[in-house]
Amino acid sequence: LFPLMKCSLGCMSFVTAALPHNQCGINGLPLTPNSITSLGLAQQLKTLKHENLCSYVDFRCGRHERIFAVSELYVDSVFNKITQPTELKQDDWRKYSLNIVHGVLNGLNYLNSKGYIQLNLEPKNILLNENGTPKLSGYGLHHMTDGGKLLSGPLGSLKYSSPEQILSCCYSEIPMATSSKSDVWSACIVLLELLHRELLWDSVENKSLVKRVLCLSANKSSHKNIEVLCQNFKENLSLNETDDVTKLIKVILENGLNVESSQRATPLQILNKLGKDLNLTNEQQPADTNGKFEKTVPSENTNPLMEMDSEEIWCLWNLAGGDMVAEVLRSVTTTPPIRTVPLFVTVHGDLYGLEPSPENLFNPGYKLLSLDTVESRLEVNTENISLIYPLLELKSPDVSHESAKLPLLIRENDFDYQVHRIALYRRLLLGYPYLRDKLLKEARIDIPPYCRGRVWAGLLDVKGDLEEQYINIDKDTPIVTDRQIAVDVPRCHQYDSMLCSPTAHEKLKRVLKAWLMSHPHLTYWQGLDSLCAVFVHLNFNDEPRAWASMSQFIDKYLHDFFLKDNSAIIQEYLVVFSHLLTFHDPLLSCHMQEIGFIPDLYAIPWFLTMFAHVFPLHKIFHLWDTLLLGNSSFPLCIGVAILQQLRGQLLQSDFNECILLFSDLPEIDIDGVVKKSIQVFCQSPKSSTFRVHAQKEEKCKRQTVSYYTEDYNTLPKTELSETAIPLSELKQEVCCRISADDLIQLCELKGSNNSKTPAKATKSGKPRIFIIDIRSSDEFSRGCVPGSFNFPLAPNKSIPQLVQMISKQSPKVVVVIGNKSTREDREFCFELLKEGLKGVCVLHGGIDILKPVGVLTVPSQ
Amino acid sequence: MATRTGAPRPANSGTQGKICQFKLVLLGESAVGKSSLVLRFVKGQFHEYQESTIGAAFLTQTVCLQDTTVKFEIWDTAGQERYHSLAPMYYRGAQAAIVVYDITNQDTFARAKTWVKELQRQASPNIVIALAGNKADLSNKRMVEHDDAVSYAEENGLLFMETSAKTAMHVNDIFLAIAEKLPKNEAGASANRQSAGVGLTATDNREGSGKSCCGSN
Repeated sequence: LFPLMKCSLGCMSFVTAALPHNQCGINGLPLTPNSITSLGLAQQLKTLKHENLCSYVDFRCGRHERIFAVSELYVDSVFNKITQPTELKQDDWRKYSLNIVHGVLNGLNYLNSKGYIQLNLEPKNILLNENGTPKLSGYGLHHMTDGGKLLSGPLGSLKYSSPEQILSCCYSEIPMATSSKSDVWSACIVLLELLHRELLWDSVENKSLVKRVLCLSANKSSHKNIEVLCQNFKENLSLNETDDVTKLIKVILENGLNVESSQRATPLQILNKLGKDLNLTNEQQPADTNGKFEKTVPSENTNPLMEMDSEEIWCLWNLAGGDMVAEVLRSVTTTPPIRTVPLFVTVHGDLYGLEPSPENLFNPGYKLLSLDTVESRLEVNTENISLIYPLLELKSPDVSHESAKLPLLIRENDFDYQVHRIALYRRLLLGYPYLRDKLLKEARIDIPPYCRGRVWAGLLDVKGDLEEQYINIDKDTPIVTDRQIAVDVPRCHQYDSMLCSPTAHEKLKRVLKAWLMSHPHLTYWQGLDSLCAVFVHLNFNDEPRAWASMSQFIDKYLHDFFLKDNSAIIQEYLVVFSHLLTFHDPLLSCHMQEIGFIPDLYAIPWFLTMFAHVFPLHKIFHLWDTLLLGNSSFPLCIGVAILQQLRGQLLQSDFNECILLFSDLPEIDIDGVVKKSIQVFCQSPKSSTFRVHAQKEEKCKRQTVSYYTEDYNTLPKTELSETAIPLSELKQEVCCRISADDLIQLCELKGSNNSKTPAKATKSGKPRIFIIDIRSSDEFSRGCVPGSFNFPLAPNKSIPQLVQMISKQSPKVVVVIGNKSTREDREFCFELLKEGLKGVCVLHGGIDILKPVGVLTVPSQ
Repeated sequence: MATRTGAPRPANSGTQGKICQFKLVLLGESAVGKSSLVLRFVKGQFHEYQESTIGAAFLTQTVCLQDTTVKFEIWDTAGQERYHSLAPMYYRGAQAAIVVYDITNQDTFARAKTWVKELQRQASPNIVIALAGNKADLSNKRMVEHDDAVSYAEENGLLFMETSAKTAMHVNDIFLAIAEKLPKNEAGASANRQSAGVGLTATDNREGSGKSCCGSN
């Protein structure tokens, strides 16, 4: 059997410095706690992947300004190698030491190339995996504490600190060390310790450590330094031998132990000097795994963890019931509360006379997080192998999981189900965009939170070299909108610990600006920030993807909403919305119109931000999971679903009460809204939500699965299609209009003149339909839509009776056909609506539009 | 933080005397604290990170004077210049307006002045306008002098107070001062009923709608 665990996860936690009380920033808002600032900075560290680094997988904030950083962790470290006896002979040991430091330099060089430095390199921070490959850990501290500024103490261990680091700690006027050359110094000290198999200056006090390092400054050359340092070890080691290994070791030390950092080499320079002579290293270096586990052919004996990256394992660890914060805090020494009482407190809340408690000192220890549970639950057997390794191209025998029918929230927290879903989506995303249709199909079931950002980008048809496009957008030149963005961003979704960090604010501003610059005809409307925040949250480390997803989203669902003058677009949208409401809930709609509670008063923030301004993030995620599958008319259905959920309250409320209800939207059951909106969507004829201002062509083509998935707004138009009517006239309409082509398709009518009937009477699953012809019986007998019911308008005819008769057949759509010129249908429809008849719509253009097509027949009687 | 406001006395349903209903609109540059002022006045709450207002928000609050109960219908508007075109819809028919600026930002004061001009030109002639210099708790960052604002308010016949939605300073006072100044005769109240712009068919003259529109609890 393959050795099971190659890595495990560990968590380091530390406490950031507390901020003074009762102060606020320049914008008048409270200061951001250091832990939040740190949390925002830390996110970027997740993107660092290198064979000589322990990659970071997650960061969290705890109480009392505590930060938890989860990363890969290995039990063995260089510290152990120095302090524990070895069987290697002197020569082999030198070779081994060289290898280790070479790996360390590789890691440092990678960090440097990405703009990071470690500044706390020491033997305990150089971990060794099972192959003996050195892996740096703790390298993120410098970045996530903003160079140590967010900590109350200095970063790193004195002994390994370079002279310039120590100087900047001692004298505040000396700037902080910011070069990876400081790391080279530390690496050299580690190398010396390794060579001597002894810790330098063990059990020497801090004060004299400072002195000793600074004394080295007197030495002008690195040769002298090496000499002095070597004398500090008990055993003397000769570096005068002339074998290759010793030569290379000397190259490292001589270039790395210069007191003047200007004369010291960077990791890259040393690596170049070592050059190709270093082929001796290969024996212990594993193949480049690039932060991933080795791939193996799946069989029942494989460990699925091998195929996952550390972030995925971390996600599963949490699903398996892991409680990282509790586990870490158990291992942190805590002071009893009584001993944490300060001597006195100022009126501003500043504390004095507090004894420093150990948990407030910077002491980054690692807590190993056991993967046993995850591993045992992932054991592969014949039953689950198709779930853990799903096959996409074969028609697999029902891979659906038994949990699939449970409520969404349970599914999202079900370990086995998520293992299956994540495995499936991992493969779908690898095959994107080729597998986009399959992705859409799976997304109809659900989307695992773990990969939501990438899946959404897929659903929105984001593709191409985003990074290149994003980089080329000018996001720095000041524009007039800057002030508006600057005041909106710091108050946008600030309850979220990730979005309230300064890093998030910067990202949000950049993505917003990038969008504005890449859409010069559009402009910033308040509310765009809320929309953007959703994408930034999901793609925190991938601004290009956030920007591209947002652009696609707006193109599809908010086409032209952000024009400088958007009133025509919004007005039309709101009228279509009221009509759709009337179609589905005539009584509610009549009531709201009666009290004057029109959509203009409450629905603008809904639609302008696609509900991102009115719901918290966790609700938006679930809402948009479904929204993204619908066409550009789907948001209207969500609006109807929300109103229907509040129906009872609304029907009993007058104008003021209604508007108060909406100014502070009550708790909405999002799952209910999602279900209801799908229902609303499926019961609306697609032409009923026709809008002149909608996006005309759908960029992302997809298979049309059924009648509903077609977006009427993007279909090719014929003389039977819905046509634009002036807004003022649209407002006069009392209900939806249905287009002739839609009607023909719904009734599966086949005309004699095929060229003019776009209908393909094949698509299944259409709403039941009832057609009322209100023309005189004379006109009716000369030609009517087959199956239609003639109800000539006359004052003495009882509408309630008619409604009763229709209701018995419970049709989903009731089409009223009249004459185009007279428009008696309006009045008639209004009567139907007052009776509470659902599904009422008017044939756009009246009977006349059907005359040339040849679908009209003479009634049989 | 929501408690010690001494919010206006709620209107007891049994109060004798007349009930007047007035439409009040808040105007001003974005992020000066319009929504925060309303929230403090109506619910006694304060949120540091009050989200931006899109379009407009509506709230009501009732205050009691000696013998009259005044019910404010408060329209809180979006601050962004782009939403300007919607503003007339909200201030049309309003009997009172509070124009808000931020004392730590000179530009917002200039913006407030243009709002005042627009109201004087286009709103109903008898409109009571109050000027509120908000964020008074940040007086160490003050950019608009108190005296400048006072003299500007005097010149234009505006009520003026420096307020702080955060500390609740003068928040109730400014609304009460407006309530005092509004005409409480029959004409005033009836003018209101006609004025229901925005499709506001404010049908109710019933008192205290039983909702949480009064006081902080």
